[in-house]
Amino acid sequence: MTNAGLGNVLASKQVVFIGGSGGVGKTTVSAALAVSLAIHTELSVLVITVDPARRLADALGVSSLGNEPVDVDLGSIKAKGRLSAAMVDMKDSWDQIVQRCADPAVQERIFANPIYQNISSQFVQSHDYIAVEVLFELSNRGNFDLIVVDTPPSRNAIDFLDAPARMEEFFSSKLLKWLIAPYRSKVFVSAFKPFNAVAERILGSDFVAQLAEFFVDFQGMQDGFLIRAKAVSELIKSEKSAFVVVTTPSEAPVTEANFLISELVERNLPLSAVIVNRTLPKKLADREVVNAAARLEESAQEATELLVSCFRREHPDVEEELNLALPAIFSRVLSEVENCYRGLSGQVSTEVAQRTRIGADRDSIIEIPQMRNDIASLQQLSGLLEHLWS
Amino acid sequence: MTEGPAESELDSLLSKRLLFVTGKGGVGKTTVAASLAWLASSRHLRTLLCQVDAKGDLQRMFGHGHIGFQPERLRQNLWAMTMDTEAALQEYLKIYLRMPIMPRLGPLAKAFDFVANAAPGVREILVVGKLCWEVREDHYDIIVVDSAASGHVVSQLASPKGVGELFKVGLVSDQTTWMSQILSDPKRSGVCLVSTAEETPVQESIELAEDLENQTDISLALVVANRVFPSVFSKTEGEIFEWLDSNDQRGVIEKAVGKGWDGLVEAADLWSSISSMNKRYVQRLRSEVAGSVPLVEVSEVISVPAGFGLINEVAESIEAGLS
Ligand SMILES: Nc1ncnc2c1ncn2[C@@H]1O[C@H](COP(=O)(O)OP(=O)(O)OP(=O)(O)O)[C@@H](O)[C@H]1O
Ligand SMILES: Nc1ncnc2c1ncn2[C@@H]1O[C@H](COP(=O)(O)OP(=O)(O)OP(=O)(O)O)[C@@H](O)[C@H]1O
Ligand SMILES: [Mg+2]
Ligand SMILES: [Mg+2]
Repeated sequence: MTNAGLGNVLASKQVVFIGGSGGVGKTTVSAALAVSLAIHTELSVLVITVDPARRLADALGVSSLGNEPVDVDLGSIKAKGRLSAAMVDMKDSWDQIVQRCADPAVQERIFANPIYQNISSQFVQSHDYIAVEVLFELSNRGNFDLIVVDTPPSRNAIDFLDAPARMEEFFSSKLLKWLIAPYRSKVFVSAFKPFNAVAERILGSDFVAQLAEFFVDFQGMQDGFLIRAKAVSELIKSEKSAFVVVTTPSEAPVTEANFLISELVERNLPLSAVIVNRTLPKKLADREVVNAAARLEESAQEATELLVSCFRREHPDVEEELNLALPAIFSRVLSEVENCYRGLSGQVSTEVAQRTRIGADRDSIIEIPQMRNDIASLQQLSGLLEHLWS
Repeated sequence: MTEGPAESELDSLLSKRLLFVTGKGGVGKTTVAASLAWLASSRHLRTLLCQVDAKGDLQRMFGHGHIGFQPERLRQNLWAMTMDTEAALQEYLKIYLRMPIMPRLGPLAKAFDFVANAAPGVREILVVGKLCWEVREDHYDIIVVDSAASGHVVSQLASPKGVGELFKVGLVSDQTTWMSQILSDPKRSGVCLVSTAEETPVQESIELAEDLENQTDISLALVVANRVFPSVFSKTEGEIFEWLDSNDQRGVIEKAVGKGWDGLVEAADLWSSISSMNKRYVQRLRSEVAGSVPLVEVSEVISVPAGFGLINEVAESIEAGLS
């Protein structure tokens, strides 16, 4: 199987979204893809990450930064293009939205409202929305040829796609009007009375008043907000966008990846690739290796004897105590090797089965092997997706 | 001596009434929550396992049909439910305002649901309120909560406190007091933090533990280092393995087992490097998250598909690690 060509497909896009279920490696893959694109194409690439591991953030040089992109120093890596990175900061992003959409007096009231101070992180699952908002803002600047977008962990991998629509829905909802009606006009509309009475009884009148005040102000931003939310929706749907779904080769993530893929298809959104992250070496399933394991099991005794005598020949002056223990040690080493092999090769068969479940073209499936260590340098990142280009 | 056998760490864990299991996405929260509930119910404790995310993972794991807001009996002493804020709200209105349960969400409840979506703390307080209410009513001996992933759980557990500050008066405000009492009592409530022994999950756990400490009154009860690859070689064995794998010996061993030997070596190599990475991160979990709180290691369970088998193995590990 070859992935050559996929690199070029992705390079022809303007925005590449990286989605998948929790913990499968979205943030790592986003960074790896961005680095790889910067190396192999002449593009100016930006990666927007959501929650990079500290060492990954360090590698990208974004550890202390927020929404403002910074140039990533690729060091000794030969690159045709350029790489920048930004990290989404929820609180900053909300503040910026308010600054852009509300007039100064309203801004001040919003910032001072205790509801707003508590809201930024939870509001209508806003982290999904904020990620796309930041994308919209940065893509509008036109400084970047291609933006790779890491998506935040969410209950549902599809949530971020719906985020703009959910925001729109929220702001144009009748219920919002209901809630704030008594506070907006002097004429108390009696139809809203029961709701407000119960709400006040349960939540307390202060809170309901603050809430309503907040939404009155917030509604003032509605127009600016809706225009942006629509534009963000458009961007997601446009053919300049591409989607990459990340999964690991085990059951639950593959099920979620398939769900995400089917949602993309339903929405007519282009799936460009599926990345299967953390695969074990296929070699473990080779006939030769399987046979070796079987022979090791059958003739452990002889193999041990053979190796011990070989070792003794080579180390004639080994300490007496160790010398006596050698057969036991060798036998343990061999049986541990066999155990490791059995464990991992069982996993390899599971992986093969899971791979066939993935609901995408074989040619669009890219594998990234399980690394032995944390991925902590640009060098390591750049190696992960080398096969997109050869 | 009149004292009975000392109480094990597991006994003390299961003597709590409300356990929130949390951690980064995908680390094994649902598996560990199910295993803890399994252990509790095996010890004849009336156990409720509550999933906060309606993703359906409990159904899949127990091979059970729909699990809704009304608890389903999974086996003797074990019930499971799915949290549902709408249903929790209805129950709440019924209990505290004596409003009849509406067959469908009426306009009032709908509006309320809308507020819950927009206002900070409302949804969270409904979730935590329902769980605390079950504790207060003594319906179960222990409730194990398969909580939302890291970020969200702090706002849930902080909600009685935060809401108490936001809502100065009103019914909700009145109730934050007794809820806070339950949550802040380490004999009754605790958090079980699950992490895999890798960089990001450990990092997130460190931050989560700090947030819990600073923003909530609930205490950490257990840290689970999940999916740890057991270590393979002792020091001497490692040296022997290296010797075996050196070029001069290849020929000898290949004569014994065949050319595929290098595949076996690759497996052992990969396993032992993952295992030593795991070891480093378990150490960090121990020193930077657990402190004086018990930490159990649960091994990577090989070739057992998610389900009863896995739950059993994980439960056994936890039991062994805490006795
Ligand atoms: N191919 C790989 N080999 C080894 N470790 C990996 C690999 N890919 C990712 N990891 C490790 O897995 C962990 C999770 O990765 P990452 O943070 O990228 O996941 P994520 O999908 O962004 O998670 P979340 O859903 O929480 O945002 C990290 O510790 C990372 O170093
Ligand atoms: N000790 C273990 N050994 C092997 N596999 C495990 C172990 N613990 C969990 N798993 C597997 O890891 C996957 C994720 O586990 P689980 O669903 O419990 O995680 P979670 O934290 O609840 O995930 P989510 O954040 O998506 O709800 C499952 O496929 C499960 O079978
Ligand atoms: Mg991430
Ligand atoms: Mg879960």
